[in-house]
Amino acid sequence: MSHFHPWIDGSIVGLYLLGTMVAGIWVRRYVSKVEHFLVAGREMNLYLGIASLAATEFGIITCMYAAEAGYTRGFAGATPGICQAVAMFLIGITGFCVKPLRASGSITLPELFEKRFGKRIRWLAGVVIVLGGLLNMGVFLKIGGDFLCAVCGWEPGALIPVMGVLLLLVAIYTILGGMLSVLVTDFLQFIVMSVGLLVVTLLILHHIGWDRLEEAVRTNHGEGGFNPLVNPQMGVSYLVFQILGNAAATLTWQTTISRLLAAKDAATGQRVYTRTSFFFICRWLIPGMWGIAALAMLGPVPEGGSTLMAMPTFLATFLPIGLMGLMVAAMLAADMSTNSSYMLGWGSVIYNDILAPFRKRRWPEARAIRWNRCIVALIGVYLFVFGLLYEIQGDVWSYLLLSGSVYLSSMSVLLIACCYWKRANSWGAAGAILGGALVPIAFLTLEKMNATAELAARIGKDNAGIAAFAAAVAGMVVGSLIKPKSSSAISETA
Amino acid sequence: MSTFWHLLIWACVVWYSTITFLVAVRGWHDIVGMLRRLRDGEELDAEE
Repeated sequence: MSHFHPWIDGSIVGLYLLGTMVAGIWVRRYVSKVEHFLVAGREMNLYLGIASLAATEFGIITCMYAAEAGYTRGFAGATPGICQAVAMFLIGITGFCVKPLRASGSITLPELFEKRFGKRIRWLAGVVIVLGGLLNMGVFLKIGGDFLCAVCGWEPGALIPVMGVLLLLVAIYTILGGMLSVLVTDFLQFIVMSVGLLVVTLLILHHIGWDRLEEAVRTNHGEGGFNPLVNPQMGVSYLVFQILGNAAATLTWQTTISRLLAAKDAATGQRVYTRTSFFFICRWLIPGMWGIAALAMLGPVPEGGSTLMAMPTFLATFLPIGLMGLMVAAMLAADMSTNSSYMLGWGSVIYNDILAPFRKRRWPEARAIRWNRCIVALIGVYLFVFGLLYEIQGDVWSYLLLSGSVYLSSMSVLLIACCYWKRANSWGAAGAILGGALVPIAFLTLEKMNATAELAARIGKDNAGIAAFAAAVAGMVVGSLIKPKSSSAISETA
Repeated sequence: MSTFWHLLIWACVVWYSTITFLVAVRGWHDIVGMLRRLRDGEELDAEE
């Protein structure tokens, strides 16, 4: 029985929703150009950037998969967060790739690639980014709805209306105000989300205590619950894939780099990266600890039970009335900021790069904004339908990283080559895109077919992900080297 | 390893509380500045 009280907790949630919607809709008056809609006129400063990046990269989906990792792998489950924090700090400090990217003045990665590899590669990169991004994001809404139903104690039949309302609220302000609304609501959402996360974490540490958490991990996972290298579900290939995937995500994930591109200059963008880097440990370890608390209080799930739902089931009865409302508001804040940024992020690539060949001349600003709004609305429809139809096999984080590597592998290779390898050319770029996309798509297909599901399980998501990166590098090197020099020179001059 | 995770959790709590406070105060100034610059840009465009 959930402790969610319809009036007391419902009022707290209602107040948060009202504040967010008013702020999100109010700033639409500042949107008069497509650059305002997609990158907030490149006027974002440091602290707003930190709030926006942190709020975007923490949604209910993040909380769910990080808690699931804590529940099923103990503290070692937070390893991806450490990998991403280190990657983000190093990239922010050195400016590796992100400095030339911001200096190029591009709105999206494919726009930068066009300058080096030509129009076709821009279009192809746009398609791969959108394909990987939408496959990845497709499960967000459903998992968000599952979480809210579980913590509020609603029947499973409430899932579709919850998904619909969640989507509608986010879509309204994102469609009207674009990146400006996203930034302003991200700021509010970061504060609500952070207060909720901190209060729940302190409550768990106070009521359950470190000793019980540690004992639960030791009893259920042994030393593997503390050290990823001795955990039977993780090991070296898991660690290698996490390092590659998280470094690539920091360099090329559209919603992450859109904060860099919206920053007022490259130095501000780099500072946003370095100062937000530690948040990536928090975003894994804090919900991971909630998952461990669920393990300590509820014990292991019975055979066939859902490890994903253990944390919300625990929170539904652990938090008192009043704090339930704060936690639900915090999770709604986290989810809305993520969904809005993701809808806008992939929408910007569709408009800026995939539709680029259809814009022979520059469109009037009003028409361009209208198209962007339509694209965001269509992504919303897709999210709703995909969320209802697709069932994830295995743990959520592995699915997200693998579907993301459809483009993470190839785009990170393209970006590094574009910035630092003089011999890189359009053949190499095409090879990297094909190699990086085909491996994860083939693996996801093998996993879904009964005849090949066992083979896919033997290969494993981690090895498939590493193979995607290897294929992208091989494609880039081989393609670039075999292209005749004269044709390379011509394409570069063009 | 257990001590490492224990310290890391408290580091997260302390860092996250600090950054939330900083962002709450200075992020608001960033929003006001951003909207002002956008409005000034609009007025300049209108004059041109």
